[in-house]
Amino acid sequence: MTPILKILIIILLNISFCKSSLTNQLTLSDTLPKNMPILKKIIWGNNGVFRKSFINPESRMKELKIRRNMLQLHQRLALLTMGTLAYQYHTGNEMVNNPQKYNELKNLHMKLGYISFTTYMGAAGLSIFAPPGMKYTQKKLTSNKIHRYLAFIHFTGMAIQPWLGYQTSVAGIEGRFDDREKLLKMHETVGGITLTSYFLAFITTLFK
Amino acid sequence: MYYFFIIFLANFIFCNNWTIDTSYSFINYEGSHPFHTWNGETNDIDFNINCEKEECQMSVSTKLESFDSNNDSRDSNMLYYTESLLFPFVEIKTEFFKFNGQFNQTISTIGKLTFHGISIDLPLNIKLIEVNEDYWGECHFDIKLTEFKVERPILLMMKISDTIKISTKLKLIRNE
Repeated sequence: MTPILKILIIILLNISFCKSSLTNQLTLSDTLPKNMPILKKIIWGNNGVFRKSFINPESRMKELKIRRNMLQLHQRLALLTMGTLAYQYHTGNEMVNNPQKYNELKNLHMKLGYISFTTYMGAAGLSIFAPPGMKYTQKKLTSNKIHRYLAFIHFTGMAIQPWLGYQTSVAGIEGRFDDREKLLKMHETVGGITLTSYFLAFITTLFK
Repeated sequence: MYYFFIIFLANFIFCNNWTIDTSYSFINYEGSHPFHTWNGETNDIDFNINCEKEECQMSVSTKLESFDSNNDSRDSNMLYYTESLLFPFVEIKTEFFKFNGQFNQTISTIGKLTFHGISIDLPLNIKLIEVNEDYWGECHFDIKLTEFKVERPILLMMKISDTIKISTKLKLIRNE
């Protein structure tokens, strides 16, 4: 080893010990978070389903822009869903508490159900299928994780509510009153849990 | 002997008299929205001070990616809007200021803040505090996102505030 080379190594070592920051040249795949949720990995991972399809934007910058637009639309649809769900919950309660209003509100309640289900699933799809963000935390409890955990609850509720509503209505038409009472109670309970968890999930977006 | 001299020289050139303890030091930003405020913080700080006699110049930089606001979606959003793939670092470098090793004083200087690929000069008041033989440097200032050409993120159809409050507290360690 020549003395010049030795000096160069010493200087390089000094620089590396004094300066902690190193500039890295990042490739596109480097910018994909390693710890992204499993669903995102399946859809948008390096070998994800969308990567091999025409949907792949082939640029992380474009991908992030698409993500931004999808999540903006997710927020708008989610707000619309919350309003519709609250109104639908109110009409459902009116139908139970004032049986004379049942026939008057039945159609409205059902139509609101179609709207809320469509907007809800649209909002959920936009969040689920959006390209991955730039960072996913290792922490177990953050406001965003609570938002996601609550989504499991209200998604389940939203998936079974139309079936419960339909079965309740059919049981009433067919004169199976005991079944109707049980189904109505379940429909009411699931509706309450769904709306509450949905509202709480909305509140978590405003946490510090 | 010759090599020792080179090592000493290299240390003298590339190292400083002051470093920071990153476990106690932080850079914090506070953003606000009509519905709430939030903070993002980092301890991953690169600190440098170069002094010639009593004239010092200081630089502080960090990776945008290292800021944690306790909400990864919000952090991702911040990284998107600040285009951190293109501009991953934020740095402030002061002009030369007088520092004679004395603490419990405020130093006024100008700092060139480089963020989102744009450099802007900002007036800075750096408080130097000594508490129980611990040395601290504190600095608070505001920046405007629009001045750095950063698009303001939207939450629930409302833009966040243009002003971001920056607070920095560094625990300084004197290298003997």
